[in-house]
Amino acid sequence: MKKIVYYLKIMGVFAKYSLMSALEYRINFITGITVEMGWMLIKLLYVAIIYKAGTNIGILTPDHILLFVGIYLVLTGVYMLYSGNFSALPGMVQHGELDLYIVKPLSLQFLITMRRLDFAYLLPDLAAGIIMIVTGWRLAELPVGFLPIAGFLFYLLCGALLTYSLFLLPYLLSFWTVSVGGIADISNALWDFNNMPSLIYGKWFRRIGTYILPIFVITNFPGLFLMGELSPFACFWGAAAPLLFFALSRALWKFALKRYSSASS
Amino acid sequence: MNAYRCVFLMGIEQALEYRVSFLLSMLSALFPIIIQTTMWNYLYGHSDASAVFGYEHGEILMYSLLAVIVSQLVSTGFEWEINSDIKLGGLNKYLVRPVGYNRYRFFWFLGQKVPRIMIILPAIVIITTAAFLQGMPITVGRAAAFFLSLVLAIILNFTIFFCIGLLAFWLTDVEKLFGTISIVLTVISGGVFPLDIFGKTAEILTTLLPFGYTAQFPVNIINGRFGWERIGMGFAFQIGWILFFLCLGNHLWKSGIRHYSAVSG
Repeated sequence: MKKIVYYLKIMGVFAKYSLMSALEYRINFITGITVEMGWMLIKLLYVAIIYKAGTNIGILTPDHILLFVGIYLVLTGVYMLYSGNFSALPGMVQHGELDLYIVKPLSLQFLITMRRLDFAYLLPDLAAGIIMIVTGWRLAELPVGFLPIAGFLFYLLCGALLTYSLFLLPYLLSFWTVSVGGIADISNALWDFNNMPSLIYGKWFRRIGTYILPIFVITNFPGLFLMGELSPFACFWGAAAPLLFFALSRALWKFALKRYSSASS
Repeated sequence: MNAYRCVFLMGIEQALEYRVSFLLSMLSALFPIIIQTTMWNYLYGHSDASAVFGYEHGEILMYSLLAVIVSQLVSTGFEWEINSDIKLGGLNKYLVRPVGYNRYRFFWFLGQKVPRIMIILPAIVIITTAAFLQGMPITVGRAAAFFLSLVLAIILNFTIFFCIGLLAFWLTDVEKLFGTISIVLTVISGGVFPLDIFGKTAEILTTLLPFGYTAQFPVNIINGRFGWERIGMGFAFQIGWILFFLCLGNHLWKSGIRHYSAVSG
């Protein structure tokens, strides 16, 4: 518990310095918001098409889909908050910049992956995502109460942890290969499968995306829980997958770090 | 001319430097195609989508396949290099050499496109042949018009992004701005969805503005949506916009270079 408080405090310090830095370069901060709004526009086009077609996808009405895409937007914002640290990792490994951080008295993985937080990317996604979730929730007449809200937030948190763990994995390959640009492109493209609810895809595709490479767990489970459409096993898997993949990313990080050779003289 | 041939060859060499990464990047373009074709198949299978969107099922599928590919083909990236040349003083070396900076960038850009073209072109041929065998009205004349429009689209996108890159002469924080522009232009060029499905106003804007001529126009030639009159008008617009951005680029370059202060050691 003491350790969690310690890391939360450090996270607060990282957030404070990132915000101070963002406000120092205001134009960069504003243009960061516009970049994310550009990406958001693409996600909104998918919702616009579903509303225009006016078709249900399985049990999901367009209002449910609005909620699902809202969840996707919120979690995209959370991922974008720290994803710059992931993309900086290959460069740090190549140039031996990990040397400076390796001697600090805290978890190197935490330090490297959370040291810079980009609020310009988080804010538009969070704002638009929350509006879409609330609107979709209301229009689809989903239950409001302690249990639905608590369960929804629980699976949202699980989705955030799973995103961190799952999308860190391809960047860890930078300890073995020089350029991971292509792998990063592929993992980012995989993230886009959440543009649409998993129910639109075929049965086998859905199974692979839920149990082998669980990208569908991230943004579909909070909504499915609200609708009462998660089986007991799916409820368990939604909570277990983030822990499993976090343990995997932790183990791979430690293993990869053994490959790192210092660049200092 | 010999100098530009060397620049062209250097562009090819640089593009092939990280081959695996390059191939994986190309592979990542498949994912949006899978997402979109799945979505369109579902919508056309479960509603009267052709009446809602104005595209037949075959037309929209071909659009989804080709728009992503064409967007990949015309995409740039040199605007960041122009920014770095201007900001870090790298422009000096071009100013003292007997080469024109715009031509240098153009041949470099073309060289970098060669490996991409070698992968994309067979894919386009396979898709159009398959579409022809499925009964789509693809003729030799239409295929020739499509390839000509592709060449013009590549040139047009180069001239647009050359002008955007030159903004670095006047703006200090342009990196994220380039990102925003790139995403927004991808959307309004029809690189994600055909914009005319969103109504008459969107259709008129796509016809009048230059951006639709970098993706939507070539794709709508080959999928049979445009008649020959519309194709002829489109070519006139494409050439007109290329000339406009060439003049604008020359003007920006002349004004910018007066603004530029060289840095040297």
